[in-house]
Amino acid sequence: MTEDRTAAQARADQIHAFRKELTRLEAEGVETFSDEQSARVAAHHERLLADLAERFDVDVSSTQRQMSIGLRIASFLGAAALSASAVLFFRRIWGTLPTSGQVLILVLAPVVFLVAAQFTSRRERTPYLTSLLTLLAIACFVLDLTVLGEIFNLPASSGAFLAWGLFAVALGRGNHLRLPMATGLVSLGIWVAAMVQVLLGHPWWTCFHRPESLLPAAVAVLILPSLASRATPGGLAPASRLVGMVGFFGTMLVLSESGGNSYLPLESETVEATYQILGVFLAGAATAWGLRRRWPEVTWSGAAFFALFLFIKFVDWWWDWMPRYLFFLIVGLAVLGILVLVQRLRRRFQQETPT
Amino acid sequence: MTAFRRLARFGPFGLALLVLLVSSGMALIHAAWNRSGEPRAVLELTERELHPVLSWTEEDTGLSLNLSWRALDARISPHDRSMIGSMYQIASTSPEWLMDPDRLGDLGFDVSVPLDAPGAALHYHRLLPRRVFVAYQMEGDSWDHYLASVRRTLEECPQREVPPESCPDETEIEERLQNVQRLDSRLFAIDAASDAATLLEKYADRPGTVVLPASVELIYQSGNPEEDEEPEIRGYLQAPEVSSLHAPLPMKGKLERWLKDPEPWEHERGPRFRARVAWGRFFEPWLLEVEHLPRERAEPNPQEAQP
Repeated sequence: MTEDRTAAQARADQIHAFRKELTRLEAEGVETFSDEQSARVAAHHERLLADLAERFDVDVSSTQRQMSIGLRIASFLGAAALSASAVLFFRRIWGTLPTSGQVLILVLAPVVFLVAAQFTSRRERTPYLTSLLTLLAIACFVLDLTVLGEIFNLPASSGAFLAWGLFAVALGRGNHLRLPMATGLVSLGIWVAAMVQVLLGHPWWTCFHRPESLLPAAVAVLILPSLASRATPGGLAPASRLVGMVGFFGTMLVLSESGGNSYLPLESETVEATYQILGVFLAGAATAWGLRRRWPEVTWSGAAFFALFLFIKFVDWWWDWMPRYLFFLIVGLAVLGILVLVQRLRRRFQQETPT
Repeated sequence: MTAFRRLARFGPFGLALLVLLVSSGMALIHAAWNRSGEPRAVLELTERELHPVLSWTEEDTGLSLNLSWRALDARISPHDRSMIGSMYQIASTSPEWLMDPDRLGDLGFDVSVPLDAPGAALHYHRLLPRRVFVAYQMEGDSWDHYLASVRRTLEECPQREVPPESCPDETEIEERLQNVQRLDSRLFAIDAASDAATLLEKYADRPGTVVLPASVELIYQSGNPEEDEEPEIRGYLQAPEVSSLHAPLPMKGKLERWLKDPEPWEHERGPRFRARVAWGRFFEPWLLEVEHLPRERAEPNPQEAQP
């Protein structure tokens, strides 16, 4: 449903852009369609917009678009509040329940929200309620495995991250929802990192001691949409790439500041310098890659990490001795420099691949 | 299998439901399997070894008991010394038997680099913690050694680098020793190995012993050549993998009632309850039963009693 909705919204946006451009061309005196052709195209677009609005509840005006953004934020906040409420309510009552009652509630709660999300995804034309119920189902499933572990005194297991990841990815993929998809990919990334540690002969939880174990998973998530487009259709591909970018550069950022946690057999300072140089270079390369492939999430997250690596280096070099006004002046100028560089790259790629 | 195929036909929704049911089911089967058959060990502990866990929110109605353990520490810190006899819990410690590099090598740490070699610090700082099995004994030789070492520590106080006025006098020493005997945990970590079978065989005939998984972290100290301090490595033993025990409803009700009594270190001294704890085939614990303990009433301090 929602994948079609994404495509439908894109088509509606295209129609509006076409109309605006046509009006502008006519105002500038460029001859376009004859009256008869214009009427035929306009009638076709009207029918199309009415059909898209009827079937997918697409935004057909900028006001509607702004309201949709508001609804998306409200849906997320509602899901966060309801998840907190579900967890706290369970904590409030679980001490009064026998073990069988606790288990029954823990297993049934995510099933109920899962079924409800599935029901609304088929009935509702907009994704807001489905998104809210899906996030609630994920929160209840996390509560389920965590509290079952507490009740039966089980040790923490990496398998829980696999289960949470598969569950969230399945729901994100099934209902074309970005946040559940991103949550699931993060969880699966932790599981892959844990497995890397197990393969190297270490306990699974040491993945949190060695951030490098997260890198293979981050790269896999970053290139997943390119390798398997069916796994991340439509709007899910940007979410996947963003999770991969944050995972990859976030890990490099941590290692650029705490080299003692690296696998590299080098002194901490050498490891930190290596990751600082690699971080700046790769973040710049990722920005260019995002521009070339027209992936805004890669472009802007790459530029943000590029600036962050530079900022941290500036702090290391200058914070202690430089006057604050001069320090922030240099930071501001550096950010301006990045903006100019990105704009130039953008223009260059536009010239290479005109649309 | 037919049910799985039916669920698979529902696509991502079926997969999510399948993951939910299978993972919850696996957790339940794992718990039941752990508790099936004869437990690996059953110990009778008291509040000294099982501290009630304070909830993170007042609205949490659950109750857990935290396994409190100790070890004959190679180095008692000033803080630990000041806390002797106050029923405090330790999170990690460096037992004497984890000071030996060969023993650390047996636990799986790569100790091949000489401690004074140029790259030793880098090598040892990079070693990750290891999951090992640890033997814990209740009221064994370690407990006796501990009582003796506490007395020694308190009596030797004037010889240490502390102001004499902060050292306990004879009356206080006796009082604190009595507190130790009434309040401190008697469960001691006594040995470790990289596999459970070695310890289970070694301590098969020693009553009151339980083997549990825990982790050991290796610490390297470069020493100080100016003070003739040699570089050294030692293992830091962390808490057992599962050290929190959930109290199911009937036992929770009883425990809550008994925990309303004054604290163990107040006038009515000593632990408020006793519990039998079992460890199953996967070394995971559960409470078998709990029982109220009669308590001894301490003589009030005459100075405190004055209005």
